[in-house]
Amino acid sequence: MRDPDELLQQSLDALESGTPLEDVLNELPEDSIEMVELIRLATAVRALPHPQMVNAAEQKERILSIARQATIPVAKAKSSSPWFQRIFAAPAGRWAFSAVAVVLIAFAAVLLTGSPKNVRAATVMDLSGQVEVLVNSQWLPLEEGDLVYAGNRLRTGQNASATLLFYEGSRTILSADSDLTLAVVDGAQGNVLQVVMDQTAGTTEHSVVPLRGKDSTFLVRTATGDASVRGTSFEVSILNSHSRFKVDKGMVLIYNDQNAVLLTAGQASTSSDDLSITDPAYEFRLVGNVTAIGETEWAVSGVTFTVTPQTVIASGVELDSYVVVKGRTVDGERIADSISFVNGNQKPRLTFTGIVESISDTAWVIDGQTVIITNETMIQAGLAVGDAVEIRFYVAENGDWVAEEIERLDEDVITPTPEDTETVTPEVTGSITPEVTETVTPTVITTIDATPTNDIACVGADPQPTGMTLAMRYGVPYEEIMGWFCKHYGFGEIDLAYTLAQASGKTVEEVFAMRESGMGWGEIKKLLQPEPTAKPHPTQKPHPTQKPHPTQKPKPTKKS
Amino acid sequence: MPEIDLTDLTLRAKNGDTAAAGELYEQCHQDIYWYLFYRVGDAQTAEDLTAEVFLRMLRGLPNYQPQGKPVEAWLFQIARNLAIDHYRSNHHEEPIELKENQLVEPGEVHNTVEKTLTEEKLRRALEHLSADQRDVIILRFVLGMPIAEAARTINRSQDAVKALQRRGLLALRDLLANWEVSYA
Repeated sequence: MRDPDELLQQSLDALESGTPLEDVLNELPEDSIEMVELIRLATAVRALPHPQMVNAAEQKERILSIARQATIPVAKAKSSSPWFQRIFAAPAGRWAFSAVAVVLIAFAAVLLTGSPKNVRAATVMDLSGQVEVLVNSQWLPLEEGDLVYAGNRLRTGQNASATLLFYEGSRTILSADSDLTLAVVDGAQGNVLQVVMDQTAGTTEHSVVPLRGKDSTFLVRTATGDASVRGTSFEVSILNSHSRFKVDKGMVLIYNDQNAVLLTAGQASTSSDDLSITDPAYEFRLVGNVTAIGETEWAVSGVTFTVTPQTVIASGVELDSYVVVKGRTVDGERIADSISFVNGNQKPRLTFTGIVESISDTAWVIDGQTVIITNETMIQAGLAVGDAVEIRFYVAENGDWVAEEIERLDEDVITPTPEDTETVTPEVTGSITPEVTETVTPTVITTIDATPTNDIACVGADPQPTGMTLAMRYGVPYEEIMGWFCKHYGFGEIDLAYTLAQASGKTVEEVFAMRESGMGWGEIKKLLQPEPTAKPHPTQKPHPTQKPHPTQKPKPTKKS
Repeated sequence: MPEIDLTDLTLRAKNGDTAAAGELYEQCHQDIYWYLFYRVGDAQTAEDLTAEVFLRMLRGLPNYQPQGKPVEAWLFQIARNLAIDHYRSNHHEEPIELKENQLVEPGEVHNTVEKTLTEEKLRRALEHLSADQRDVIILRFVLGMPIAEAARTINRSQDAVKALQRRGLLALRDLLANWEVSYA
């Protein structure tokens, strides 16, 4: 029997190449009533007129106008400054404006003391270099203490950086050459923070205070994958066509429409524009001089690593360049994700992360790599085999890696300090927005009453949409799906396990047990689904027997 | 999608050629709009999202590098993400996916006199397909995209697209039959 999917496609191919419909139908096998219906339906859909855009011309002009602005190099906006800037230009104006602002703030504070309201801004701090915000199609320089809001697009220039401080203490650091749009910045009583940002360039680092309540969100979106957290410290870099995520503390869910992985402390992953996401892998980071450049093997400070076609290498990097290499150890191989020039005054530093495999007085093995222990090595107390650690090391003349410091990777979520929140004082600078209705109320958080468990942290969005879809697809509780997810199975794996369980009659637990015994998914699939027939789709169910058909539907022409 | 070399246009747009950006819009906006129209079901929203697709494309241009994947696939990926975000931000559930033995009541959708297939009936019927089936039906039969291109666009194998195509058509057929809508 011919594969119906293939048969349908062949008939559609024939139609697309100009064969008349009736001829195509005549070519079908005799028992192809269903196929005839599908081909007629496909033909009918193709023949339908579809709606036209009403405002295409205006829209094109608008987009072109933005495209023209995007080609303008970064520069301070000239003339036509807003009214509040003109006021600020004169000293008297500044004094007058400040006085008004103080009165307004005092009034607002009195109103708000008893009932804190939503906070919809982040404070810009630790400015260095050229940092700008897009306002009315113009890039305006930001200043220390400025407030930025949802809808604001920010960018940093070469060697520039800035920190965004959210009202409950979470922070985002923008490194040089970053481009970030705040899509959502919102807060509510009880410290429910909602932050969504779209990052299109550069590197950002995030320290997120444990979020409270199911409505809280901290999401960094990139073109190829999103990072969702509830309390952690992590870094996001845009590297050409892919995004790189690295977790310092806690856990971060990385996902896109097709895949999801959970990163724990010390791990990194990349997502690509084909929506693939690499498996979590422990990170290495090398700051030093390039000591070797080969076709695929490079070295920095004597540490070798592999360069792949996906490695993003800053132009101009050559032997002896002072660089930072960010990479992952995948199946024992150190693979570089990026090699860039060092920004600022970073000192030489070689680090890698991994699981402690063995411990002795003179050497430890971590993630397959032996490091020498000396009297100078600083080792955090209480470390044991199985712990995830970060190692700072140097390469001795004989090539040995000598540990300088070994410390446990902190999987605990970040707790806010009073310092984090005390610095959030409402300031009106007048430089970005004339609004002086900011509702920030200084808050000092001293305790965390809702420490997220691993279960909560691993869920990410609540509810997790892919988890919901799978639960509905297989008719099992959402919690069951997320239970597997929290055991570090990706949604793709969970989907596959349930499909294989359905196809084979085994339980899902048995399928996962096979996986945990060390079998690859390919092996499991081969074992449970030996025939090369198409995988039964979980939603595929028998057709209704009393399906009414259109009365006007023509009878198929059978081949004689 | 057109025969013009969209990769070349995109690279020119990346280098600041706004005319190329305009041409890119001309070549692609109608398909993107149709795709979004059938995904979100509202003409004005589809127009707004179409604009957003091209704005995001502009924002992404500095990082654009041709790597064998067609520009159209990039644009459709943006459009798909926007369509999904649209549902989420409006607190909609993802459209109810039609199980193959679960038909919608006729009165639910069709109390009009007209019983032939129209763009509106197609749009409503598509709402009941799974997201993947809906994508394939739109790409293949609304936009007329070849199977290989559709596969690249939604990042699936051609076999997977063929399977989705048949299942999607089967689901559509059953829906339209239930609504007594003719199409031939």
